[in-house]
Amino acid sequence: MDDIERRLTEAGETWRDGQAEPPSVDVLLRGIERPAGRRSLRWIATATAVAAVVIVGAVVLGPRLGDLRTGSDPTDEPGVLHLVNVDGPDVVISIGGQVVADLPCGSSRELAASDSLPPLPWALEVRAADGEVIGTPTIEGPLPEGLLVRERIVLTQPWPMRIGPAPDNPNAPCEGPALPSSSPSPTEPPISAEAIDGDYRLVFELAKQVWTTDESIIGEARLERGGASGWSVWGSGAGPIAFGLSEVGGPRQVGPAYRLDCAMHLAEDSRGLIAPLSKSGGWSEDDPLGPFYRGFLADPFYRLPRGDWEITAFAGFSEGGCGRTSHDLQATLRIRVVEADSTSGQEPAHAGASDGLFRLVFDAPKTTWTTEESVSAAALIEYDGAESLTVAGSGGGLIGFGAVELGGTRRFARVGQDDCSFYELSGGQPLISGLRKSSGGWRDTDPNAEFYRSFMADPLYRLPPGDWEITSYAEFYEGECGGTIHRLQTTIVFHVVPGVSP
Amino acid sequence: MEQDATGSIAAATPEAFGAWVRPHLAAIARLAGRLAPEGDRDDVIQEALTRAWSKWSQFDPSRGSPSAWLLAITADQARRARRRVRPWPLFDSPARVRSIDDRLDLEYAISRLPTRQRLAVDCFYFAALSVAETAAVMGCAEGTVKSTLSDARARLKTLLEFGDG
Repeated sequence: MDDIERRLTEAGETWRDGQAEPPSVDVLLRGIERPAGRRSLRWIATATAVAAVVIVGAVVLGPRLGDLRTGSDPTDEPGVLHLVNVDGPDVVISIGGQVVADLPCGSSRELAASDSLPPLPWALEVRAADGEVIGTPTIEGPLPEGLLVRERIVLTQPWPMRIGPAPDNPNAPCEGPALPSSSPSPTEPPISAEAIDGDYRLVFELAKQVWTTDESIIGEARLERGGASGWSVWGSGAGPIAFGLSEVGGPRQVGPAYRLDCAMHLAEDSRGLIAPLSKSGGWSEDDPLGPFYRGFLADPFYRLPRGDWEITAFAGFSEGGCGRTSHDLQATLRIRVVEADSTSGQEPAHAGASDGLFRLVFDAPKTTWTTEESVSAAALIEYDGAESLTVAGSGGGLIGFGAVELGGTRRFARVGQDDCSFYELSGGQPLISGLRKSSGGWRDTDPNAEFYRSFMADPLYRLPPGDWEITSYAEFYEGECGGTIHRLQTTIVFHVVPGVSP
Repeated sequence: MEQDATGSIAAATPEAFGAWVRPHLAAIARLAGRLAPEGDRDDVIQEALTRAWSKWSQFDPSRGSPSAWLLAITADQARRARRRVRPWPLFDSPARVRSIDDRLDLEYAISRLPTRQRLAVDCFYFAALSVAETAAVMGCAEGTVKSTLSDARARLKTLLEFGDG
């Protein structure tokens, strides 16, 4: 017996010694005879755990609404719908034709469930002063809940709402110009939510609140620990953070799902552990919504159909080893997805490269984008072997991206982390990476320095007008770092046009 | 129905099913303890036995032993439980290895194994399943289990000696 086998054998024996006795067969048989009752205990336990999660939120309003700040405990305000008009037109709100509140720009109201109002659910109508109905949300309860007016967009959100600062646009005062309801505001700021559990803080950010059906939604969640670095937690091998999705007012729910394994995850800098928004989940073949789930999960982009959706970041982990102290944090953001009518009719773009063993596929939902849209694309590595295969490469991921302005001087180099991590490839389960930015840096004297700075600071992948050649690169080793190397690259040319409509 | 070691059939009562399951319960519990989310071991055992009870009539002794059949169901229920809930750990006993350093090193190294190698290690070394039972859980031949374990040991040796980068 070699040393590894001895250590495994001893570790296994010690682990088994620490295991509790299983329930007796007689007890288990009682469960078999009453499966429904036992199952209900699981759901009660789950509901209790969910209810125990403390979602910490505080309304952060723009300067015009500073006096509306509230951090009150939502449980203190049952039966209240909070109305906040950040920067929209003056509106009146009706239920069943009865005006229940007026809500000028920059104001807030509370609508209390009372005898003078019909019972929930409330079918609200939000009408601007110019007569246009800008929203017809349904409030199903339970209250408290929030209703938010941003420019001419109406959103309902859990209360307390976290809505980010008002757009810093002096030309868009309260009575500012109406935007088409299908167009996201170019000045729309990122949105964020957070949850706190002891020393841990989960921050979930999305680049904006309103997306088109063509755009790949961009965001990330960070697990922080008081700004410290060098700490570690244990959780699913893919990371302690995963994301779930829920349709507001609809039945579609996806994820989160986690890998079966457990691994240690080290926060190497003060930003903590970071996970870009990604998809996970499963479905039953007999589920009538199966086609939606299959299509959503197979899409390399994080695209959603039109409607309001809640995306939740979950962080689940233990300290000091698997199975010790458990932490469970959740932070939810509500978004709206609108039709991408401005670029309808375009064909998807597709490029690929293969070295015989692996394929690199680069896809985009379209090739022409506006300067206000976030260019969406994704690359994936495919491997068709019967057995899974371990490959090794940069800890930042096996796929990187570079961009070059055709006929211009602006370019972004692909940059990878100089370390080595293992990845598993198996047939039918490609490794996917959404288009993301990287830069090898620039000198302040570079005439493009200001452009580089603003591009890298933008949470969206927005490009100036022109033709841009974006290349996806994959570089990795078979087995261990230093083994047989594979290099693949493939390119798509994107056309970027000014404004909202190309 | 009930099938004993010789395959004879008795009445399909919960009591008969219990007697059929009882010799394998310890292995089922070890496997569930290893693969189920933290705190869900007993739920997974319960669900595995409920599933086995509902499918008992389909058990075919010519295609495998009762333990292999029950363990495969248990592994499947553990996977479902993990998909359903949270990312919870494979290791839930602080006393499972000898020392803090050794535990962290070994746990970390095992966690870095490819999925199939990790499953083989969990089944064989931790749940103490036989090679045949491990093969049933993994859905492969016994020879594949042996080669997978060999590959896992080689990878662990590298990981423990040199780290994984």
